[in-house]
Amino acid sequence: MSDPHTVLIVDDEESLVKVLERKFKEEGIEVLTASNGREGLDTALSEHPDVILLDIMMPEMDGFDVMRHLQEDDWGKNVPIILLTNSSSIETVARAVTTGMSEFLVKTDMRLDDVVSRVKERLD
Amino acid sequence: MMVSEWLAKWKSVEWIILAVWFVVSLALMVFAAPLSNLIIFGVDTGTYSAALLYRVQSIILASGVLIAASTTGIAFLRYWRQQSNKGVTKEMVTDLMLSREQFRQLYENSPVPYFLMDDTGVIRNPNRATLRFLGGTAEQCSATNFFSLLREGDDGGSETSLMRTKVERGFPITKQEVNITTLTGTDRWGLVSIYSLDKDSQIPYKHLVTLIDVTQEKESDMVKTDFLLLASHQLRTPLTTIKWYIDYLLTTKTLQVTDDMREYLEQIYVGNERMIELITTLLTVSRIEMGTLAPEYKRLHVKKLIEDILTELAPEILKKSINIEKTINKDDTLTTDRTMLRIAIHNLCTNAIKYSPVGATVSIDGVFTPSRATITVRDTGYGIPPAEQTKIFTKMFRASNARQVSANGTGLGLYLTKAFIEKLGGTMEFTSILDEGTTFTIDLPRVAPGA
Repeated sequence: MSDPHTVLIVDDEESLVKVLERKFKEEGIEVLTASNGREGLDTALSEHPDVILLDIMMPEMDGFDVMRHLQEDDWGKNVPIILLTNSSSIETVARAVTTGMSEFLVKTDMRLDDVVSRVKERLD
Repeated sequence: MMVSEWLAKWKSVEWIILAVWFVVSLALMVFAAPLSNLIIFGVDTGTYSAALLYRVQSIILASGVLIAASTTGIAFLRYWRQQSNKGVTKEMVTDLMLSREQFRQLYENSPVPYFLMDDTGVIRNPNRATLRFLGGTAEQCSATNFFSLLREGDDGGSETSLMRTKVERGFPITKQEVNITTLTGTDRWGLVSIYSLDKDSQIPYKHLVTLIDVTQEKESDMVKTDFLLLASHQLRTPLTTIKWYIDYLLTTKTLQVTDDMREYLEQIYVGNERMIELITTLLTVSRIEMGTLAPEYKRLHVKKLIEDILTELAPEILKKSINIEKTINKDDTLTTDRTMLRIAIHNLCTNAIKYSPVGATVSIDGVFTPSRATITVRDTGYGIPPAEQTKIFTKMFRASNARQVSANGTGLGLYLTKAFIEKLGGTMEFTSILDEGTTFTIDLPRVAPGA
């Protein structure tokens, strides 16, 4: 495999980041992690990952704010973002849709393999 | 003193005049007696013969009789009128004053804000509760237009203008929820009711407004909603951790997992999935009950929706060798909330499969008229015991025979299904015969009201 792809996982729940990281690595995907929105935005802008897995409810800066800041960046406005959250309320979904998100996943609905395959789809 | 008492006793000047003239007339009769004798009997009993005196006496006598008669008439008229007003006694007047005062006290001190309003919304006669609610003095409130205090909702003020129109036309308004900016600038919630006098009435302030303060209830509702959103997030996070770690152990090739361990992990996984489903359902129920679940209307094809549901249920259908029969009209569009309808039909299909023996048939029919859609899910399963049929749409209901078939089940499925269908403007019915089967019928408008 040439030039491994990189996924950035932004989530404040350490245990979830850890298991995702391990799963992605087994699939041959490089992983960057961040435990809040601000850190996630900084890492994204400096490391330019291929896909961002983004939580919504986080300290410092929430997922929607991260997306708003990325929209202002030349590289950031084109990077594929997958929202991965447990706030499955209709309000959150509506906001994600109006923010232009094409992918919105509810954590409890997803198996790990499903998350991996969604990310892989974005890498092709 | 004496005179005034006497006057008060007689009450009427007419009685005095009557009495005076009665005396005068009597005196004249006596003095004119000789003349009267001459006139009446033709007997001259005295020396009165002067024509002038005779005339003067006659005029005085005649006018005396006339005035006496008329005053008597007037007095009798007054008396008769008093008689006909019988019932209005001094006590009654006092009572009337008292009840007027009682009414005023009630109006003024009622804990419910009351005020009057003219056609344009200007406030008049605000009671104390109104002053407390609006946070101003009587003068400030009376100079205020009620409609100008109403906050515009998401509708851009169309609710307020509808209310204005209703008031202008004299239509009553009953317990309409309004968001009010008070005179001190705070935000309050009220239930407003407006009753109007006849719209042709000349009284300018003819609308009686009652305003029930529901600020506290509204705020606690909002707290509840916030709590639910937080709970939804906080409860799911640890469940996700459990789910993904088990999932990792079940799928990874880097760790040694024995067959026994795999089996136990699968059990944990299934238990965890049930927990996730239960929490989702409970949160949905809470949101329905609080009215915070707003449908989103879109046009959809029922056939496609049912096919998707059956694809999802394929493992269970296969496992029990259930025979599915599906008859759906070609013209199968509905404008409704996809998620709610999907959950409703999904629940009915899951129940039909779950509570039917191996090899049974489940038929799903969709019949469409220009205005209505009827979706029927019929099974040849265990049925619901007649004694329990009245309770099937209540929360936490599970039929006694259903519990024997399957220990799993939240008892919320049918409750949710019915709540969803009603939210979409539809109705839901069922017929069931024990050990023969159950038929659920959903009747929906082709276009949901509010869509």
